[in-house]
Amino acid sequence: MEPVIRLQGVTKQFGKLTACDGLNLEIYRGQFVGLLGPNGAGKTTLVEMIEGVQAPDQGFIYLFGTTWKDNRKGLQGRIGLSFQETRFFDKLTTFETLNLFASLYGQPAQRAKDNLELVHLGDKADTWAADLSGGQRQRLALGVALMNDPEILLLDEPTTGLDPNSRRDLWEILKKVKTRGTTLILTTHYMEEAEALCDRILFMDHGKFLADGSLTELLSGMGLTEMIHFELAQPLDKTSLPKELLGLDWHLDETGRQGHIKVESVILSLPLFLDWIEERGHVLKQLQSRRMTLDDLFVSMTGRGLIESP
Amino acid sequence: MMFQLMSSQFKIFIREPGVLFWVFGFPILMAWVLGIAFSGDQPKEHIVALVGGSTQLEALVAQGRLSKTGPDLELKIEGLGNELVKLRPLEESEALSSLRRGNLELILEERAGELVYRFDPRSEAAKGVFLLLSRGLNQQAQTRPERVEVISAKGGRYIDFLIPGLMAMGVMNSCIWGIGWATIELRMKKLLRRMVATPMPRYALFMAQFFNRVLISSLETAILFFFAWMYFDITLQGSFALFLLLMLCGNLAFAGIAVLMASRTANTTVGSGLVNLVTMPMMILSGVFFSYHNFPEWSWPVLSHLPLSLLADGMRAIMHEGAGLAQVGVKMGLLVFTGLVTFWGGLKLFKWY
Repeated sequence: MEPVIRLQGVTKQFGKLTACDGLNLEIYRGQFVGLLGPNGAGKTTLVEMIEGVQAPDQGFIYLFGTTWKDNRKGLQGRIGLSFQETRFFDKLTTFETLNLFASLYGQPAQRAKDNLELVHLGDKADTWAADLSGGQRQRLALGVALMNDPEILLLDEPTTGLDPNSRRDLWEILKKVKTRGTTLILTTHYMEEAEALCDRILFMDHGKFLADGSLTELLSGMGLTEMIHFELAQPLDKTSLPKELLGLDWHLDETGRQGHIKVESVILSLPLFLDWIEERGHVLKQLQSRRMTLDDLFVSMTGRGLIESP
Repeated sequence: MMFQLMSSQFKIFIREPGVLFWVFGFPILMAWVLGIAFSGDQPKEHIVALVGGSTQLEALVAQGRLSKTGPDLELKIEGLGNELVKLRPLEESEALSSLRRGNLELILEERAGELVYRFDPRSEAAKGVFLLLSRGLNQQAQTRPERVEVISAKGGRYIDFLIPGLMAMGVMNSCIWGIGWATIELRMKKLLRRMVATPMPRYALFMAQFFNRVLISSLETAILFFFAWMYFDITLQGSFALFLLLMLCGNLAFAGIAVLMASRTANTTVGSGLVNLVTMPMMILSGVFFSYHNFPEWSWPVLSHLPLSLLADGMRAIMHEGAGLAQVGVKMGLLVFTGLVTFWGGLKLFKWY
C-alpha cells in the first residue's frame, strides 16, 4: 500500500537549533497518528512542513505522492488543518465563519451547516466568535479544518489549555471523523490524548523520533509494563533482597525510602515484595501498583525527571 | 506599592519601541518639519492676488515704501515677526480659480480710489492675511478708504476648499485602515495563514478588500456630499463619471500603499505606528485643512505630488472648476501608477505565514 504521507530525510534548522533532524516517516491511509513530545521537541515545525507552511531545508515530503511545490492547489483541497492558535473574526458568528471557509474551499453553505452540527456548535450558530469559550473556539477551528472533508487532517495541539470536559468532547468528534477513513496527525503533550485517540504513536524529542508504534507495542516493547510504587518508614536495604526481587528494575530516590519497581506482572511480584517487607520488619507508609503509561515510557526513554537509581 | 505600579507601567511603556517613536520621535519630527524646515530664517510669505492694478500701490512703490520684485509688489510687515506679503498681479478669473484651489487666500482690488479686500472671513488664514496686509499698508501711508468684500460665492469659500479635501482624506483613511490595518490584524491572529491554506487564490483576498473599500468610500463620499449640498449648497460642476473615476484611482493608490504598509508586520502596535506614519504627514502636508501653499514655494512641487494632494486637488478641480479629463488626467495617471508600484512592492515583501 502506498503511504499517504512520506518523509525522506527531512531536516529544518532555525539558526543553530535543529528543529527536525533527518526525519523519515511513512503514514498510511486511515491511521490516527499522535505526535508526542515536550515543548520544543520539533512537533509544530514538523506539522507545519507537512502543512506546506514551511519548507524543509533538506529532504522531501510527499503527500499522496506529490509535493507542495508541485501541486499546492491540489493538496490544499485534500488537507484540513488547524494551527496551534487561530483567532477568528471577532464579530462574525460561528455559522458565518464556517460559511466563509466553506466558500474558500468551494463548498456549498450546506457543508457549513453540517459541520456546525458535527462539531457540536449547533446552538452557537449565531454567537460571535469573540464570545465563544476556549473549547468552543477549538471546535470551530476543527469545523473549519473539516470543511473540505479532508483526507488528511493535521491538528496542532487542539486541546492545549482546555478543561477535561472540553477535551473529551473534542475527542468524541475526532472518533466520529475516524469512521470516515480520515488520516490524522495530532500533536499533543497530553499522553492520555494519544492513548484515547491514536492507533500509532510517535515520540519526538530534540528533532528526532524516539519511538514509533501502537500503544501496546510501545509498552510491551519495554518488557516490563507494570509498576509498584512504595514508601517506607526507613531506608530500604537492597542487599538483603531475595534474588527473585533483586533482578527487577528498581528505582529509589536519594532518601532510599521511596521508589518504584518495574515488573512484568504485579500479581507475581507483589506478594514476594510484601513478604520480604514483613520479614525485614519494614513499615509500609504507602503502596500503589498500576500499569505503565506513555508518561512512564517517555520519562524512561528521555531520562528526564526520572528518580535516581541507587 | 505606588512605586512598583509606576515602575512596571513605565517598563511596559519603554519596552515598546513603536510607542517610543510616537511619543518622543514623532513630535520632534513634526516640530522640525513644521517649525524649522518650513520656516527657519526665511520670512513667511503670503501671496495675494492684485486684480486690475492699483494706482495707490504704484505710488507707494514710487515713494520706495513698497518694493517690486518682478511683477510682484512686496510688502514687509514690521513688528509682527517675519512676514512678507507678495501682491501678485493676476486676471480676475485666474485669481478666483487660485482662490478656489486654496493657492491664495485673498484678492485685492482698487475700485474708485477704494481698496477692496475680497476673502472668506470664515477662513482664519484669510482673515490673518487681511489683517496683516491692511495693517502693513496703513503703516506705510495715511489712512486710506478700504472695504472688505465677503466672498460667499460657491467655490471660493473655505468650506468649498475643505469638503473635497475631507472626501480625499476619507478615501485614504478607508484604505489604510480597512486594508492595511485589517491585514496586519489578520496576520496577527494567524487567520491570514489559515485563509491562504485554503485553495482561495491570494489575489481574491486583495480584490475583495479593494472592492469593499471602493464601495465604502463611495458611500462615505456620497453622504458627505449630500450633507455639503444640504448645508453649504455645494454642487458638482464637473462630470460625475469623471469624479467617480478619480475616486477609483485614489482608492487604487491608497490600497497599494496599504498593502505595502501591511506587507510584513504582525504586531498591531507597530501597525498603528505605521498607519500614523503614512496618514499623519499627508493630512498635514497635502492640503486637506489648509493649502500646502502655506509652506515655502520650493516645497510645492513635492507636496502637490503626494497621493493625497493629487486626489484632493483633482476632486477640487472637478467639483468647483468643472475640470475635465484633460486637467485631471495626469493626476489620475499618477495615482494609478502609485497604486500599482506600491502594490507590486507590497506583494514582493508580503509575508503570508
